Amino acid sequence: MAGEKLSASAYDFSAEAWNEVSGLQVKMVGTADMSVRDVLGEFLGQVHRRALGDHVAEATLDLRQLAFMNSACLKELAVWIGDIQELPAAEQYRIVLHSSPEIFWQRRSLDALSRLASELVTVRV
Amino acid sequence: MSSTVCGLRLQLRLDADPVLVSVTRRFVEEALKRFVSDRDLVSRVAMTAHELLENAAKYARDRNAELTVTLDTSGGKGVVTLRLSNDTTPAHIDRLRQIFSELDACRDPLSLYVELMRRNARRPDVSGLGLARILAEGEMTLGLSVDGRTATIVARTSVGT
Repeated sequence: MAGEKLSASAYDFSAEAWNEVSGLQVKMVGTADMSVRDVLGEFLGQVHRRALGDHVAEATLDLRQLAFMNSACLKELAVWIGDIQELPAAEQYRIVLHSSPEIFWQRRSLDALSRLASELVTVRV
Repeated sequence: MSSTVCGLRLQLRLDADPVLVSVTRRFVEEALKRFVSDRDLVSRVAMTAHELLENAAKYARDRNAELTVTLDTSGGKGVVTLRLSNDTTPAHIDRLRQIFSELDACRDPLSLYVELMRRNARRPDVSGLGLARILAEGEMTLGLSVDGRTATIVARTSVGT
């Protein structure tokens, strides 16, 4: 159902996704490390299915309260981006990664992710 | 020739339990902040400690590992060194050697990191990004030494460059 909020949490990590007029909003808070990788992967799968079902043009991922993300969880984001790239052009949607300048790892990590698909992924500070 | 270490020296012998990795990363980060004002450097060191410890949590025999973090400011220029040692399996040592072979040959760490993200995205069994992340995002030099079944990974970066 389009209006239902998606959510996931484990240890010091939580994530939510919901629809707004501007597109799909996704927010992650806390720490995404090896303990939550599977939870994150499942959550991103749900987000992708929601985005496809609702034919959104854009999903915004708010990471401004995400203190840390490990490489395995970054890989889950790479999988999500890859899933979008594999779609026919008409079904693809953009991802905006909303970062905090105060969380220093984000600049380099999100830059690397955006290089996977510069036509689809933008980083907003 | 021995060098005098001025500044920080942490030597942590630990059970590399997955749920303790982030706790240890935060400890390293807080300790280094007492000595270094460069928050970007502190973040890079903390990320490196995290990725090294997760490797130990996944591959160390009995999850026993030793992490050493030093800030050496002798000689006028600072260097941060992280050293992670743990016993592991011959299969993992072989895998580490393969990874280091690829890392040592690479001229553009960021391009390799992005390529590995793309390549490993369809391999659910491995992340395979941790060491490439240390090289690219951490701006560290990396080295591997093996003594019997003990693998030691050393990551190093300059302070104030």
